[in-house]
Amino acid sequence: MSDTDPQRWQRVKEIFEGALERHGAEREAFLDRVCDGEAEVREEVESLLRSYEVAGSFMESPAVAQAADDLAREEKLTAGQRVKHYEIVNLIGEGGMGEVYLATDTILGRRVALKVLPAFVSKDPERLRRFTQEARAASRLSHPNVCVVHEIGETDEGRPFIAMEYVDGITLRQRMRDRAMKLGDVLDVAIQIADGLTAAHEAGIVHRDIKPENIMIRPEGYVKILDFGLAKLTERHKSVTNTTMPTLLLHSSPGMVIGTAAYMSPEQARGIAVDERTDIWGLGVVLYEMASGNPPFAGETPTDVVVAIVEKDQPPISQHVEGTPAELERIVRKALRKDRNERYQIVKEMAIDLRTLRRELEVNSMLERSVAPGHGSGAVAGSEYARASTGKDRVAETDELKHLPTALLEGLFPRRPTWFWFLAGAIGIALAIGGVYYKRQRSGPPLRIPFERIDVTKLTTNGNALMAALSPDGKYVTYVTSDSGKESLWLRQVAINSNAQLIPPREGRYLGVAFSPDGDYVYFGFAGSDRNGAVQIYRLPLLGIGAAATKIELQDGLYSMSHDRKRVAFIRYDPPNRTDSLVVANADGSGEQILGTRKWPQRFGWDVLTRPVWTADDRTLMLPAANSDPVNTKPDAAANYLVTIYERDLVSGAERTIPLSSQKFDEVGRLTVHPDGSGVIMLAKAYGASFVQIWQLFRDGSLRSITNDLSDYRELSLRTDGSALVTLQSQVLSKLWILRQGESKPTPLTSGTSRYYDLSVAPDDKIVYASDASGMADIFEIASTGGDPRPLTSAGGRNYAPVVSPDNRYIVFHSNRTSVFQLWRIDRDGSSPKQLTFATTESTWPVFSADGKWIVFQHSDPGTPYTLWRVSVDGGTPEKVTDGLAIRPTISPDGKLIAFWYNEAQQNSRWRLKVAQFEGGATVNIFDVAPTVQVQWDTPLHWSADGRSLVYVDHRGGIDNLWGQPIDGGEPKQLTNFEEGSIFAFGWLKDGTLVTSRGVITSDVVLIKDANR
Amino acid sequence: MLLFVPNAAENITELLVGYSRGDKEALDKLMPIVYDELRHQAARYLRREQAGHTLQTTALIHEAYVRLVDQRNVQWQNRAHFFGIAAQMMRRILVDHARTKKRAKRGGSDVRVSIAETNVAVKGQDLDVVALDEALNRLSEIDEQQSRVVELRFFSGLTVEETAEVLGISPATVKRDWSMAKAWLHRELSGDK
Repeated sequence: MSDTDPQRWQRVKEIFEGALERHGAEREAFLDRVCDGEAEVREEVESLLRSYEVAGSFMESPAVAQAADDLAREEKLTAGQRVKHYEIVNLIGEGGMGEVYLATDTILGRRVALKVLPAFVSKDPERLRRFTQEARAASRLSHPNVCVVHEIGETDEGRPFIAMEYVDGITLRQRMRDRAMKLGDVLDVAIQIADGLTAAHEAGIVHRDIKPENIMIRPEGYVKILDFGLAKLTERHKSVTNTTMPTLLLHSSPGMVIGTAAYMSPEQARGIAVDERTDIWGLGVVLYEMASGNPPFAGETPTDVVVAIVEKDQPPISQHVEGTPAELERIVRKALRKDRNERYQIVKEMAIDLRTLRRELEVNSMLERSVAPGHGSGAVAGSEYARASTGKDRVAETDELKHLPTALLEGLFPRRPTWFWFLAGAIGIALAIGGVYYKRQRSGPPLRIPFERIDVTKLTTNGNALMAALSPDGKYVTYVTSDSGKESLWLRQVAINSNAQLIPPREGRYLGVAFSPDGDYVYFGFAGSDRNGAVQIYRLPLLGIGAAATKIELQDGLYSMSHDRKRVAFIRYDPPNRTDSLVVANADGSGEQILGTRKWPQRFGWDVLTRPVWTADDRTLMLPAANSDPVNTKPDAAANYLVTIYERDLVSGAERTIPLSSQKFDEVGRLTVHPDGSGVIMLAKAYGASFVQIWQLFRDGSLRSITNDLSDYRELSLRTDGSALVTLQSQVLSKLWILRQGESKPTPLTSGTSRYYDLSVAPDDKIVYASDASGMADIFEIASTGGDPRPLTSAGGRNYAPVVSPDNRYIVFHSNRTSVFQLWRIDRDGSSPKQLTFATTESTWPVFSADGKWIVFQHSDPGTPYTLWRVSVDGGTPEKVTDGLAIRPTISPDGKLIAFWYNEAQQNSRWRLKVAQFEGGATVNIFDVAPTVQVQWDTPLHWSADGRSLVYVDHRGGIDNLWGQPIDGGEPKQLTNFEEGSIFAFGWLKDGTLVTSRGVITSDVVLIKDANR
Repeated sequence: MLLFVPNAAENITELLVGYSRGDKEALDKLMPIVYDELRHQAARYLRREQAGHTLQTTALIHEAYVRLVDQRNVQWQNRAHFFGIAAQMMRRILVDHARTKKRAKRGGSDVRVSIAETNVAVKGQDLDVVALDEALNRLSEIDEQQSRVVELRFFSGLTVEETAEVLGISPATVKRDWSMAKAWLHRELSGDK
């Protein structure tokens, strides 16, 4: 039986057709006649005829009805139905590439968006493979602006599905339809898209299909890019097509769904392989549309649109919206260059420009605002508050915070003290957030995600808040503000928006505020303004407006009381022995019992603010902890902290440590266990990121950021029931300024405001500086006459503290591109990066010796933070320069002397200025500085150009100015007369022109409520 | 969260032209659009049926076509290709569903599934769509035209005349091809020689 023989098939066919027209004997006769001698053919024909006779209604009614039925009825999933462990809640969208459902992950108890693709997609295994590969890569990004892909799988019906982060929000398309977008919102969204794309591109992933439908905006304004990798689905493996027609559209974007021609890049329209620059184009189109309300390329037919994309220049945005900033027009034009070689080459460059523009606009609007109104309502509000509080039961305070030796603090504060303010809170005082009681059901996953949806309320708007805490019941917020260099303590009643001043402005510094666990007291740390002012801890009754604060002592970490109020638990720190112990005692302090001890670097808790949390049944104690990754064998490494929850069962004695996410963080702090036990909420700076955000790490290993913006957050106190938190949102807005000799007013050198740090003037009078305007801190240079900054680093990590060698050949800086901040050297043009130091702990703040042969730097190790070392400019083994605590070395112009901030003992005595011989190290002089000189690990110090004085920043009167300490003695002299703002870095050009990085730090108290509660 | 919003009428015509000239990418882009429209039409069809209206099921693809393709710019070839694609799509959908039912049962228990259970109830028929699909694949290797006639008539519900139009052959040829294909396929499926 060889059906496949065409000739034979044709013969059978002819005879079959002829036979079918005949019946009975006539058919027999026909077959006899035509099949003469072809027995095999006849047998086949007769077989088919028999089959035809019995086939009856076989295939007679079309299957289309059934197919329609299948299509309409069975493809969609219904509420309650399960796809693996996802339970469908409802359909939230559908289209040609499947449906999207809201679903519940029944294992983790979280909401997910479940995208179920049509079955026909899976018919092409190669395409499916490429898609899953890309989606998986994107899922590993865990960037806050990239929608997280949780899982890729196949339904029982064989349809591919993607479980991803459910973004409760609207698409950018809907947002644009709702109402015209304000310029600030436009930039916010564009910057966040650019940030997400930057992360993706750095991971080698191109989106290919950036358009308003793929951008989600959450109610608070956070942006998520959807569908990385999906574009791969509709992409041919090789987009080479040998057709003769001009197939503009047909070669169109891989991944472009029909109808979105408007977002296609010229290279997509031409069918050329795409790269990252296609996404830059897409962002340009989206930006244009947000700003103008119109697509840049339009036409009556798709072909017209494509012709416009390839050939025509878009009209300026100002044609649609008057008063569009010229800079925005320029950015859009640069993103929409037809030739991708003329476009922004990396999306990060575009992000820089967008940020710069936004800062510019922000500062302009800030300058337009009148002077902050202060706290005039305080007195009235205070009396209201006093009335409201009358009659409140008072419980005698039996728990005493005892004195915490300052040496202890030295070793305990977070290892990465770059967040000045965050540290300021943690450094001095061991005050906890109000008691966090643990109410988690012991079995099963949390049913809801805390802070999945949030309401954000700014409680202060003057930008001068320094620290804040939320009362355990969430009714009060206490905070510290700074005015003209004096700090004051406030209490705000949240419900009625009233503020009461607890302590009026005075000299000195607050170093942390907190409520007592019962909410009756405010605790605070304070260092007086006298020269020996050490940190003291005070307690102030909430109702005691006018009452004096009581000085208290603190020996152990913060206690936490059991729910039956019979026991307390706390961490005991023992720096001399380098151990932490978890201690339980009776409420009156008797019957102390040490449950366990950890030898550093393994720790109980994270910092002195960490306190144990009791489970609802008082049976188990829980502690958050963050340790540097042991696998990395880098004790106290700056990056890669592993956050864990330590649990101790008080009845069985069992203990276990639950690792949370393995996400790398450069900085972590304020670790807090959420009372529902779902995981840890903390402040953290993701690896390589520039901003400290509020993060949640869950027991299942997942994580998310509650906040996602261009601010730093620095306080975190959670309401006892976990339904709200108070934090401080802080922004640094600065630019580079030039102040010529003889002139009184500085002129700006950089056009936008952003965060500029660490400048240094090169021998060619160019200014080399660090800035994280792009979101990553990199080194740039700019001519002293202005112009475009040129980036000198792009290798990742954060890069700070550039110094240029005296021969103008090298730039040395510190970078954490290999995890821990170490010194790196590049050639003056940014090429040939070379790592100079390889310690497992930080090496920072390099300076060149006068002969350019040595680099002196500041090195931290767990035992002795901040000693000075030196290393050859070509690398090699570093040598120790000082034994004592030393910060920010600077070498005199003649190369003979070295000066640095210095601290006699490892305790909280005042920092002083020390001048020593560069060779030999003999002390030349030691100078005291005013208490308004606030020395941190990064406080700048430079020799004046003439080598006759040491110049530093004094915060006298709340305003930063430069002061010079003559090295041969005498009182320091004020060198500048700035009337506002902060100085972050300074240096001089050859002609004596002063270059500064100056700006403002704004910081406000923010209340974040869990909107699902 | 509507992630794909085909505004298909825009350029499906151009895609059809591309497809007709052998552009495989065009087919890739057409599939989701046609699929979506068929689903849309199927849902309408079902609603009407439930409301007591009888609807000629073949109307389904016609309506999808009318909705998707710019009628001012319609070329005969495009129409043919559209129906061809729709027929392939319908065939895939049916076969996928039939396969799924098989697999679901295999996955669900170890009870051996009889052939009968795997059959899809096609409106009063008892037809193993999966086996039919496989047989149709074999037929296409022997006689491509016959397999396309089956696809269009059975899976898309086109009439003889419409099928003839789409394939550019005479109705008589369609009838003859249909008869033989029917005989051949029936024999394949029943296991007779």
